[in-house]
Amino acid sequence: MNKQCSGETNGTDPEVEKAAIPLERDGFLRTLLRHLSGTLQDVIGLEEASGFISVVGQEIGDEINKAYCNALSISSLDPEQVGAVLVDLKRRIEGDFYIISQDEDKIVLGNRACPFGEKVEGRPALCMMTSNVFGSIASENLGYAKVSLEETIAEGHSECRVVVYLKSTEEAAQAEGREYFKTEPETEL
Amino acid sequence: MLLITGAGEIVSANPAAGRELTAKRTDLPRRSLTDFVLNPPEDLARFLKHCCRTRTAVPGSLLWNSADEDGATHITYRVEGALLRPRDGEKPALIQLRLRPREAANRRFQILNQRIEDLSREIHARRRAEESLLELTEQLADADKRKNVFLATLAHELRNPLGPIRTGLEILKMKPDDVATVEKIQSIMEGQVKQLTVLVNDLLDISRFTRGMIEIRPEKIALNEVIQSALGMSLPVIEENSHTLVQDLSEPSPEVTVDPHRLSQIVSNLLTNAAKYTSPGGNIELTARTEGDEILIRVSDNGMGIAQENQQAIFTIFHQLPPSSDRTNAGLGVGLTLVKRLVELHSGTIIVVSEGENRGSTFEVRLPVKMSN
Repeated sequence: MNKQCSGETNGTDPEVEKAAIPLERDGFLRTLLRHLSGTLQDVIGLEEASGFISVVGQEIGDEINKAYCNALSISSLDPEQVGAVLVDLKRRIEGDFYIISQDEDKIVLGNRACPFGEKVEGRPALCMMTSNVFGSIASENLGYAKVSLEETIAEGHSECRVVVYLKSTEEAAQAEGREYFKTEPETEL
Repeated sequence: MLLITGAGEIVSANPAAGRELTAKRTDLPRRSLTDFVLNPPEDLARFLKHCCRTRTAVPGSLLWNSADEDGATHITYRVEGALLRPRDGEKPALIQLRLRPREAANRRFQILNQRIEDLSREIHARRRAEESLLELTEQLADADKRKNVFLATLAHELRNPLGPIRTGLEILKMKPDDVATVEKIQSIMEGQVKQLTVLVNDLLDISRFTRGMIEIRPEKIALNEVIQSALGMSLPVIEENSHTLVQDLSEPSPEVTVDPHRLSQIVSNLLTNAAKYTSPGGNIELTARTEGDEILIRVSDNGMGIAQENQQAIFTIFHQLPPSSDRTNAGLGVGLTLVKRLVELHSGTIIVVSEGENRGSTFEVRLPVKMSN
C-alpha cells in the first residue's frame, strides 16, 4: 500500500520521472488509435472492419452534431452550417480542413493536416472514421449524404480531398464512396 | 436470415430461420424482433438505427429467446444488418439481417487460430530440424576433419619406425660381420618393430571396440605382476626422455581378478602418455594398490598439463592435444579412448585432474578388485 505522507516514497523514482520519454496523453491516444485501427485492418480486413468503424463513427458524429446544435441553439444545421461544422470540428482536433467549393449538391473539402498526424499513414481505417462522422452529420441534418474520399494523406497524398454529396445525383451515383441516411423516426432513442 | 424493417418488424424469414429461431414454428413474419430478442430495448434500437443509416453491413449481437413447452432456450447470435432499401417517404427502410450462433462464429475463428497455431508449430519444428541438421553437419565436418588429421598422423606414425628399420637393414648389408654394430642395429630395429606392433594393435583394438568384439578375460593375478608387465612396455620411452619414475606399489602385492593383458595395456598407455607429454627430465609417479574392494592406479606427471576445456574431450577418439614446443608429434588420439573403454569394460572409472597448461596431469583409474566374468 502506498504511503501518502509527504517525504515518503509513493512508488515513484525521481530518475524515472525525469527521464526524457516522448509520452503524453495526446500522442499516446493517437498511437493507441493507430494500433487499434491497424489491428482491425490486419486481423479482420478493411472491408469487414468497416461495419465496426461505421458504428463508432455514427456515435461520434451524433455526439458532435448534438453538441453543435446545442451550442448554436438550433435543432438542425443548414447546408452552409454543415460545411462550417465539418471544417470547425476538424480544426478543433488539430486538422486543417477547408472548403474548396460548395453548392446545393455537394461540399468539396480539402485538408492540409490530419488530426492523427503521421499516425494516419497506412491507416485507411481512420479515414473511414472521418467518412462516417462527416456522413452522419450531413445526413442527419440534410437527409442524405454520400462521402467520397478521393485523396487521403493516409494513402500517401500530400492533402486530402473529400467530397460530401448532399443529394443522390448522377454524379454521386458514379462516385466511389459510402452513403448515409437520416435516422428512422422509429429508431429515435 | 431475416428481412426486417427499420422498426424491427420481421417481413420475411428463410426456412433455416424458421427452423432455428422459433421452436413452436410460429410464423416469424409480422412479428417484432422485440418478441424474441432479450437485449435491452435501447440497445436494439441503437443497432437498428445504425443499420438504417448506412449501406455498410453493421455488426451486432442479439440474445435470442426461442421458448417452447419445455422452457426457454437463449442463444446469442452474431448478426450483420445490411440496409437493402433506405426509408422512402412512407416506405420503411428494409434491412437484411444475417444471424449466426456465436458458437459457430467463434468456431470459425477457433479453427483459423488452430490452423495458425499448427502452422506456427510446424514452422518451429522445421526450424529446430534445420538447426539440428546444421549442428549435425558441423559435427560431421568436425569428425571428417579429425579423421583426416588422424589419417595423416597415422601415415606419419607408421612411416617413422620404417626409416630406422630400412637404415638398419642397409647397415647390416654393409657390415654383416661387425658383431657390435649388428647387435646395436638389431636392438634398434627390434624397438621400432615393437613400436609398430603396439600401434597396429591399438588400431586393431579400436576397430574391435567399434564392432563390439573386445572380450575381457579376468583371471586371478598379483597386481604388481601386471604393473611390471606395463612397465616393460613403457620404460623404454620413459628412459628415452630421461624422466624420473617413482613407483608406489604395495608389498606384498595384493591379489586381484582382472584381465591382466588389458590392465597392463591401460597402465602402459597412461605411463607412455605421461612420458610423451612431459619435457625431458621430468617426473612421473606411479601408484598401484588396493583400497577396500577397489584397485587404485594413479599416474601423475609434471608435464604439459591439460586445459579445463579439454579434460573431457581427450577421451574422444581421434582427439589430439596440441603438441608441446619440444614435442612435434601429437599422437594418433586413440590411446586414451582405448584406456577409457577398457576401464569401462572392467566396470571401472577413470578421471583426469590437471590445473591447466604446464601444470602436470594426474590420471586415476579405479576398478573392482574382483571382476566378475
